[in-house]
Amino acid sequence: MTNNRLFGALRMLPVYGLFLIIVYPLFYMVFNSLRTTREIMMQPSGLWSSSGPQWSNYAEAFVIGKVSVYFANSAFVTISSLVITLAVVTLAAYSLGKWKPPGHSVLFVGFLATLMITGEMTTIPIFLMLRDLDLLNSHPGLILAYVGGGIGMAIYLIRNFVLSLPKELDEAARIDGAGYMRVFWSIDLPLIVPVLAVVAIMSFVGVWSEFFWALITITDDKLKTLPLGLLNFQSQYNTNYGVLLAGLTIVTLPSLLVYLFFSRYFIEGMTAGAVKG
Amino acid sequence: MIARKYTLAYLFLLPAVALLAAFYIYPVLTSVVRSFTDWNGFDAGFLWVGWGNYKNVFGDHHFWAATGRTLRFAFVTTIVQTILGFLLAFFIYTLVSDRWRKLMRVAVYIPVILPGAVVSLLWSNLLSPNFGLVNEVLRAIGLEAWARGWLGSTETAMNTLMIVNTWKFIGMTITFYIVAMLAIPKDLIESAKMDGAGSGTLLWHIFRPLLKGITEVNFILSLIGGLKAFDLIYMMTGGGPGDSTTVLGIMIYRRAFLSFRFGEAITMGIILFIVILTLTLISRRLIASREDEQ
Repeated sequence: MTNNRLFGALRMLPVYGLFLIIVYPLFYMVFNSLRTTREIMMQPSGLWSSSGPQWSNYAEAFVIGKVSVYFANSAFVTISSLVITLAVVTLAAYSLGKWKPPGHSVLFVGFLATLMITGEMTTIPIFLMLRDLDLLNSHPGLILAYVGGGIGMAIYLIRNFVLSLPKELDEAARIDGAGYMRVFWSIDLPLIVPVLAVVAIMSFVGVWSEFFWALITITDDKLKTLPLGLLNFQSQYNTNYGVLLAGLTIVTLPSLLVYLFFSRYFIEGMTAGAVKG
Repeated sequence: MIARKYTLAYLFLLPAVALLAAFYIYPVLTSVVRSFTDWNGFDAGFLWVGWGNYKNVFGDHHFWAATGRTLRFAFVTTIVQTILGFLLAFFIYTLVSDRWRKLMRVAVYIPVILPGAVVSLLWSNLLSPNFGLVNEVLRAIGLEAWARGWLGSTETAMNTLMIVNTWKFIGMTITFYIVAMLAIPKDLIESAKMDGAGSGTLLWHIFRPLLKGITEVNFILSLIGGLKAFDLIYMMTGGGPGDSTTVLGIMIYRRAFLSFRFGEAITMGIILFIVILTLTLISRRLIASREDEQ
């Protein structure tokens, strides 16, 4: 019995170790965001500040470090991309899955093929296209790039969901005289909300974290999103660890909260393509 | 009636098809066509140069050095991530405590959803030479000699980046494996245990062959991620010190957006795409053919 217990505890070691390695850097970030830079440098593993939590780190990050500006930009860009993406892909996927107009299978393969095409092939022409449209260094240009980049996976997921919708309801509604638009809006759209949630959450986290497009298109500091703004922030607060870590904590929270609230959807969305396919 | 239905159907498809054309079809065609011209991204005119751009890129020893680093980065992280991810997923799967199993499943995916910028800046801070936590821990356990500027030396920068990359992405590998492990019929595992199979036997003779499909997915996803690596490297070392962490992603970015040599950058992009496609197909073939031997 004792042997068994010892063995059980030993078996848990890799799990505890893994847990520590994953979660400790985050604890480090949050706890040290409330300490003075001097304290962090003297003892990075410390937890508390001798002069109480340093909320001033957050105030400084927000106001002087301009995290408030970057945060507002990120929120605007993320929400706009999300709404536009959802509208575009829902309409397309519904049409492909429900009405199946001539050529629908070719189009579906076309959307699927976008998953194979990597950014290396498309980035520069898209960048130059945005330049010629005078959309560089602007939020609309960035939003457009995000919407364009996210349609393949979303259409794939939603279209497969639409295919599995029951047909009886539609037919009953059609017999009662409802038009195609009405069936779409009142009957089918509410039914596909679960898969829309999966798409929305996945694109939220993707766009909120996106760095490369922001880096190449946005040069004006007032327009920068958080991941890009953080880079300035780092050079500005390179030696001011407390404020730097407060800034990182602020950026992390939205993604982390969305993930922790909806972790079930994440696993579902992520594995939908891979495990079943 | 049918006609009206299809009109509506095409209207619904219009925005998405426009995006498909503008963000995939047009850029891919442009990339391929432009790679055979001397076009520089600014002037409207251009001349056909045949394979000239490709010859230039292939004759550039910086390109080959960057390709070598990219392959090393991609294969080392992929192999470590797949094997370690498989073992860790098995540990989590076999956890007796339901609470810990759920907790671990949620925890392992956290680094995956963290913004790359946060991961880069946080780890740069943890790894800082004098005041970083990593060196503090090493000093505390008597390994002073190991404490160093991890990202500032040509010897350690690449390996350090590979470790941080694995920290961020292994949760994806683990999650895929656990989902697939949960789908294996319990009777199968129980009867194997009845026959006296230990963890090792279970792992090697039941889980490994049954999870071939998901191993293929994990291997290919990590490999593609590794070949395209950019964000973490750009933010943690910027390709340095020297050129020691300049992978293809960084090199293409510099050629295009710092030197404005768009033609060359596009050509390198096409070569990288072909490398990714070829390696993906080869790994599929390799993993699939080993399946046939079973």
